[in-house]
Amino acid sequence: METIYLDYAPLGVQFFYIYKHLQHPELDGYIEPFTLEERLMHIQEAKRTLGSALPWIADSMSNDLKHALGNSPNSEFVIDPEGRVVIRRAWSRPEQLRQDLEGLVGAVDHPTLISDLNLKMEPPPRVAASGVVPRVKIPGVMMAMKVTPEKSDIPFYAKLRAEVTRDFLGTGKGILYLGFNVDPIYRVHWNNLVDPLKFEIKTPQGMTVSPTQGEGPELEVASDIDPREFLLDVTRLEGVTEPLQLAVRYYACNDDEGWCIPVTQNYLIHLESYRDGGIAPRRSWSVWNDR
Amino acid sequence: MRVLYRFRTVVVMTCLTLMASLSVAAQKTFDMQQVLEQWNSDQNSESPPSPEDVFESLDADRNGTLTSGEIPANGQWFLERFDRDGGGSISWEEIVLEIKDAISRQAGRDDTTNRQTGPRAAFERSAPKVGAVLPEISGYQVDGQEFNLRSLKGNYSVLVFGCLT
Repeated sequence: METIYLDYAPLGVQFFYIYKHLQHPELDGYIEPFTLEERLMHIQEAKRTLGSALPWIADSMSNDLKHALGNSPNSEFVIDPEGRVVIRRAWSRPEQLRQDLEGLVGAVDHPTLISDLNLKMEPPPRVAASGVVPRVKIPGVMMAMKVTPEKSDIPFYAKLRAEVTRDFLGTGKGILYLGFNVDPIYRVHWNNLVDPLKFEIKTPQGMTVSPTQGEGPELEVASDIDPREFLLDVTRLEGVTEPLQLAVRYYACNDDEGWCIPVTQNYLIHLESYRDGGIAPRRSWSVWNDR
Repeated sequence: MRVLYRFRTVVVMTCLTLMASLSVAAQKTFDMQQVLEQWNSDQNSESPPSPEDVFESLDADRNGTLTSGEIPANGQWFLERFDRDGGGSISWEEIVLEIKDAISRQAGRDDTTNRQTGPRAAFERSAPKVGAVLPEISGYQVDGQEFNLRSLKGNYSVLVFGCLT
């Protein structure tokens, strides 16, 4: 795509990557942003790590552009000068796109090759140790739940991801997964020299969660960036739609900026499938049949 | 039913074995005989690899998914076949679910046999058709300014969806 951009942008073709929700959250440590500002930070991170020169557009936080344009994670469109769709495909095909543009705009004399590019790709950030906290063993295929962060004066340096076993929506019984991940765009890590992360859940009438409290492991290493994961039993009577309330307390540290602070933040966990939750590697499954 | 399941398991195992062998000799073309010989050889060994073992052996970065870079060029069809969510990679769960659906279809139990499902089918149904004007929906430029799809006029434009991961 970068080579096509270099060849056809000078001929007047406009190119835009549209940045929507993460398709594979937690891959390389990246987690779904909660705010538009964070999504814009993701774009800067994408340009840094991928070496991309294309202009980027951020989708809204409700992913309106993606939903309106067919809801495929890597779709591709060519729009004519009158604003009408002339090419559409569910999955981007750069080789085919080049042929399309050759037909619409004309061939270039010396197409840019990937080997001509001097892409300066950077690795994802890694500010502290990883691999020191064993991952939980997942009991089955999980589905992402919608999580709503409540108002906070400081960023969500650590973010909650909630999932539930697929049978929960039908049976009212299942396993709830909670994962707290430090957000790499803030270059923060856990502080293991103080109390570990703690959470507490309040359930609405007609729903049970066990246990309702939990805390992360105490570790010998002073800091790390591993997720803090928990598996809880959850039951819900039919008709109960109110969300769970979760409060979490943790310490976040940023060595570059020289701070280490306690953070308390709150969430609502809606026990309904979340179509923009993506697929966490080796754990969750998207609910595309609901789309 | 059990026979069908075993058949499908063999198919998947064969596909994975094929890709594993292609990883070693990426220039070779599809050779079913070679695949079957490899499969039989593996089954006759003292500890034949499970499909999960083969999957993990291909998963070079150990992230739980096989991406284009981990699948040799001759096996890219495998990515398209099993990439149910259109995410550009395949997880073990996707393979298992695809097999289950295939079994259901063969057993005639699936009432969705004639129903196109999955993100690609949803895209065909719901994405703006060729000739359609783009909807009046906005995103944001990197400086936070609003960007409306209707502003794409005057030149040809290319839109591609993506994200960091």
